Amino acid sequence: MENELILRTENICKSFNGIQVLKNVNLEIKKGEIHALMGENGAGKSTIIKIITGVYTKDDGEIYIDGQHVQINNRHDAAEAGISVIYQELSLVPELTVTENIFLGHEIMKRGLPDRKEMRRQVQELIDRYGFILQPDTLVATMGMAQRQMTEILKALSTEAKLLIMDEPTTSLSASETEQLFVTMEGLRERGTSILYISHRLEEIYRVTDRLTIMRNGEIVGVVDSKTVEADTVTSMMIGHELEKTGVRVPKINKDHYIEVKDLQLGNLLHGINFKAYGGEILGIGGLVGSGRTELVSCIYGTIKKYKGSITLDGKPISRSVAKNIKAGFGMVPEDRRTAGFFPQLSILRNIAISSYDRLSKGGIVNGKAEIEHTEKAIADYDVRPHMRKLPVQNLSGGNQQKVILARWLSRDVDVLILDEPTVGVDVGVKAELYVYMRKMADKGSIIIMVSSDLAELTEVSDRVLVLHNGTIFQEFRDHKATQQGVLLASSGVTAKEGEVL
Amino acid sequence: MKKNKLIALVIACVLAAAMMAGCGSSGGAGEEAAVETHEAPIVDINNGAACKMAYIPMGAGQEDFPVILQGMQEAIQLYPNITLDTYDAGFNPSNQIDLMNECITQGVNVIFLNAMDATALNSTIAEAEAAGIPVITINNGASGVHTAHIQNTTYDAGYEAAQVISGMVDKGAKTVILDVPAELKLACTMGQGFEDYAKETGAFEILEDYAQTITSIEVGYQAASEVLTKYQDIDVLYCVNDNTAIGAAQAIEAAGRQNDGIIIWGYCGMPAALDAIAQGKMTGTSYSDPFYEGYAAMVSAMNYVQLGVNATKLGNEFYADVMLPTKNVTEENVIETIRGTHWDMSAYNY
Amino acid sequence: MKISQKFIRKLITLGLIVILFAIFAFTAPSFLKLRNIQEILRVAAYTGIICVGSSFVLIGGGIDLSSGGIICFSGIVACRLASIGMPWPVVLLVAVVIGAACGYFNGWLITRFYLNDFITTLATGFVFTGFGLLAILKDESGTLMSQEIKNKGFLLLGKHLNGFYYIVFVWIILTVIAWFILSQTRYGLHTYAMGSNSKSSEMSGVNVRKMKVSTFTICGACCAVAAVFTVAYQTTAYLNLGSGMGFNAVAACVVGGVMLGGGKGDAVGAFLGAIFMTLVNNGMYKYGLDTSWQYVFQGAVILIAIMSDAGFAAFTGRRLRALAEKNNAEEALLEAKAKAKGGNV
Repeated sequence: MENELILRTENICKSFNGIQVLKNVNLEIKKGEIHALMGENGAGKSTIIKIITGVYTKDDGEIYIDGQHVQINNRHDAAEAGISVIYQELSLVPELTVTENIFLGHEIMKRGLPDRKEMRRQVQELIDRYGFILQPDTLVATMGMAQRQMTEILKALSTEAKLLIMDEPTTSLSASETEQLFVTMEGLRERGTSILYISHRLEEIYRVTDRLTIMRNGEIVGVVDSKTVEADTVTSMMIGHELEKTGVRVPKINKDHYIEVKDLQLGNLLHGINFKAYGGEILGIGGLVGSGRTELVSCIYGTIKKYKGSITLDGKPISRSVAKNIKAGFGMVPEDRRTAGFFPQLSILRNIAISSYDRLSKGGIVNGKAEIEHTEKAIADYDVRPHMRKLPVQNLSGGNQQKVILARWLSRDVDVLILDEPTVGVDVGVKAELYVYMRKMADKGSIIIMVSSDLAELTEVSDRVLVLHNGTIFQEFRDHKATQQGVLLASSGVTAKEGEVL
Repeated sequence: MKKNKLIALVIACVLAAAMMAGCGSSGGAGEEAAVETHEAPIVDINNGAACKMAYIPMGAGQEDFPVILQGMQEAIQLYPNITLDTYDAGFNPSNQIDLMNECITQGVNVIFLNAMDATALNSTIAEAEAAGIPVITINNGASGVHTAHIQNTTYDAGYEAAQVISGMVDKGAKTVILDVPAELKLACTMGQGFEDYAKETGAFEILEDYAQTITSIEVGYQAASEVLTKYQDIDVLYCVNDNTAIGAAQAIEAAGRQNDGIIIWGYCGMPAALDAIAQGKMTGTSYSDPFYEGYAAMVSAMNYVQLGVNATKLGNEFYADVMLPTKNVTEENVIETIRGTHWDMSAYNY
Repeated sequence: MKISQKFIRKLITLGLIVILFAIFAFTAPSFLKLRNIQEILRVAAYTGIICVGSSFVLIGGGIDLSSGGIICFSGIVACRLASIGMPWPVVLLVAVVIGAACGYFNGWLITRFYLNDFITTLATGFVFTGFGLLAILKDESGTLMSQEIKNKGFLLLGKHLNGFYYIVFVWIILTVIAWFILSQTRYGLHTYAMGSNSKSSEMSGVNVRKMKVSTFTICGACCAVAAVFTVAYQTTAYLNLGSGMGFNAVAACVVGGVMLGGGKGDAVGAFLGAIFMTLVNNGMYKYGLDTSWQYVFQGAVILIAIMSDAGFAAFTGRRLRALAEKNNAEEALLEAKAKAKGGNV
């Protein structure tokens, strides 16, 4: 039994400032398995990973690799022990080639200079051995996300890693890229490499992992076989209570309140786009990254102004000025919330009120009392945690950051809400809450347009799904007929019949 | 990577080729070969021969630069064949060196210079002189040999100012000298002149020779404030610069001691100082009109080019050191001085 | 065969240099004189040697504005030592050690206290100038003395060989060395990696703090070399020696394609940048322009250079994105097709 395990931790404990974040964690990973680690934000997943990889030092407990007791005090120790991490934010240097990236930090030297030929040869060998679609001399900046991920994995393999830790590797991948990654992972498993896989997405867990460890409040609450376990069981173990199912509902569509896009053209990115989005429904927009989804919603919102064609709201052309559109009731939750969505150093208060100063100020002077009232209500309504309006948003968890951005728009009763990847990096519990808020908005009669790469989200939350491919609407799925498979195929330019299950 | 090698190689080759060319043209006779010695050419400016002159002040912001320039232009009014270009060295000796080199390359006939550093410019000045270009320094000279140096007296101005002030105060009047920055003391000796008069006659008791960091109104104000608190009993503040004097007058006013009859004397006779004297805020100044410096410099230059002389021609010895006198200006003669000055008084109502 | 971006970027600077050169050569009669070319090279070498050091710092993702202060301090010390008759190798060595120490101090401050490079080096620049003031020759009353170096051996450094100043040779040699280090060694690779993505370099085992300190040290040493040769040429050192050179060197590097923020550029680019900047300065004096117009002209030409750089960056950025997207789409299509087939079977 012992020598079947690549990694075993024994009673790992860790406290920060007197608060215990890990309590007697006993994590076991077998050789050649893909092992999932799940838990809500703050459950202790990243802490245990950081202890295994030597970023944090443990307070108590032991770590065994291959049955051998090891001391891991820093990253170097972890690498020596054969543990490699594929980070959530890709850690490649875009200006360097695949080979240079893989050997960065441990170059092969010959007479004091890096031996490029030898390094290139070794990389080619690795590529051939694992059957990756990569070239050793490609500049990373020119590669797609999936290829970058492969490079990252190759980098880990080049140090003869026995255990790969993947922390949310799919957040920046589109559906098909994710699939490609899974194939790679399965290949690695066959060659005996173990993988510890951290993800929020249940469907990925089913798709690719063998066993599943679930953490809650710093403890392991269960280890289950991920092929057979019920989704409900997992989520209830994670959050400690049952999730409400949104269920299929009939949207109250208001045909008189709509956004109409006619013959939209934007350079060679978008062409011939025609559709209507009605009040009361959630319109999902699917497609690959780069298919023009983000550009499309940017045109509607007004951040892209140079498009041809017409976009009208209730028959009247909408402005190409963001400020005017906000005044008219538009709201936008952008894709990359870190760079475009919120103001990390500003407080929750400012982040929520920022778009509502037209209402919260008079003659340019902010009404402080109204600002606080407005924010407090929003924080309570949308359950932003902690309930501290003065806290800088950068200190919140990903889910709560997203709630703040949603609260910014929802609190001013927007008429048109555009969401671009609203739940990236958000855990299951918060996701469900966000969906409920979105649905409530729709039921009030607002127009909601949601761009998403998360197939489950797209098919379950939206009432109607448009799939973009190469800048045109490739297929429309009405009346909840969208399936994950269908959307995936349409994204790649292959038509499947509505509702057909492959 | 291969491209890089290629580029480096190409550049190296080009430079090497250029160097070979250099060898060829100058005969490869070692370092002295490149400094070619020319006689200063004779330019017959009275008969319309073209003559190009360059003026390199310390920087465009130098206070007396426009007035000096005005004087120079006045002198060449009737000579359309003489052109005068000015360059801004931004108060940096390195830039002045580069500009000197530039003027030598262009082959100008005369260079006027306010040297930022008495030593740093010596080698380029020597090069210019060797190339047959007379270098004329104005106010701020260089220690190396050059054709001429023109300035207002400093030592004599200090000495004479002391004479005038001694008639206004009792013997042994308590005096502080607010002096130039340390590095300029060698060139600006009015403080020395004042001290020497005090030593000879015992008219003043020098409490301190205060070296300021720079000469400006702000620094003068600070220095004077400091001195006023340090010494309760002061009769004379001898300032080696008008800006310092104006700052000192402000400091006295701020300390509420404008009725103590402290004598403030400046140097230069800038518009603001003349105004302060007319207003009774300053006692007097050693007035000079930079216009005449410029005029004198230009007239000398015109003589040099007509005769074809410069320091080289005269065996590296000729060194004309022209000292223009200053005039003591007090309340009595300030209005007449203002009427006659070339300083720009348009900001004041006279 | 594909021509690399780096190469195209260099062609832009080279092209601008050729254009300027042609304009000046045709319109300003004294421009093509041998003496003028020698003078351009001498002035460019002064900026260029600093650029060599600055390019290390810039490529590594930092910025060093204290170059002027380091030049002042090491130059004044060199002047003092040379005046008391020290042989030139000793003077050069001591000055380089002082320059390197100043650079090390910069790097240490920045990495030890997690300070911002820009402000830190701006501040230390003043500190080093202050050290220069402490070191400069004064008489008993504290009057600063202008000190003329009479040390023949030392003054040789400021001389020329057939009109080509020794500083120019030093510049070329340093540029070649820097090019070699940056493009051929592990150290160079790590410098690019650090400038491009400091966090991932650290995760890959690059000692980012050490690297950063070392780039600043190199920069300091280069400044000292520039200072020694300039002092030898000018036969003295003074307080505003090197003033403004920090900004000048950074501007020259940027014109030559070394990216502010790090990760891009190389020593050859910095070399070309230094030539370009000197060319602009030199050429504009030839027209007898009013001082104010000289400034406008100088600024405008640098702006044009930087604008063409930005245009090029935008162009390559678009090209890279397009390539990445194309790769994305191709991968996805292949995958989906394979999957659809598999599903139907």
